[in-house]
Amino acid sequence: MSTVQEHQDSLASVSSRNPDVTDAAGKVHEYTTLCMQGQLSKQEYIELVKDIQRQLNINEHMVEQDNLILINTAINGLINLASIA
Amino acid sequence: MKKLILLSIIMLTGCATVNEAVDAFLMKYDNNEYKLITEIRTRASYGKDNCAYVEDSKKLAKELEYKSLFLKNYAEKLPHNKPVQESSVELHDMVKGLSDMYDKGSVSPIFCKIKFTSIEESATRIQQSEGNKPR
Repeated sequence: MSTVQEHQDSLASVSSRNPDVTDAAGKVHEYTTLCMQGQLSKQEYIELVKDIQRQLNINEHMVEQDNLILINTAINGLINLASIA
Repeated sequence: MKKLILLSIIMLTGCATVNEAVDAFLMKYDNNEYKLITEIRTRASYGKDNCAYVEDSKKLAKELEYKSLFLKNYAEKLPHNKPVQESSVELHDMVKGLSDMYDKGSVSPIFCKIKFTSIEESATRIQQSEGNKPR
């Protein structure tokens, strides 16, 4: 069975081009350390780790919305150009 | 002509479905939604700096729980608004996690600070995208 330290080492070695992934790994590492030091209870730790996933989901939805906004700008720009032509 | 342009956009941008292209075409900035998310962000920002005052923090968590539920319900029936609808569910879950922890009793100052900071960050991310929506 793997140890907490092994998981911590894995998290510390996470290197991704996506800053959200690196940030998430850093947060899990930080919260695990705080929990081991007794500064966070187990319940608090679980809740904070769930938040990391929730934040990743929110970011994913907002990236989707940002893309829709870009498409909207393109659609309206093309319509305007077509109207002038 | 508009239909032709819309079809071209679908093909060029790789929209997975026609619905996505329609959402992109019809999405609109909503003043109330923007105001609500700004309120949540601002109160969370205030909360993270006041974790030493437990009763005040608990009251703020309850207030945020109501506000985030209000945002979730408000966004839910607005058409062409799927990303905010889904994000507001996640945000409400985050806030409820804080509020529930206060109901259970003990909340450590560090948990309070991290929680309010996470809520603030998420609200800021939603606000950033929301502000760019077409008027």
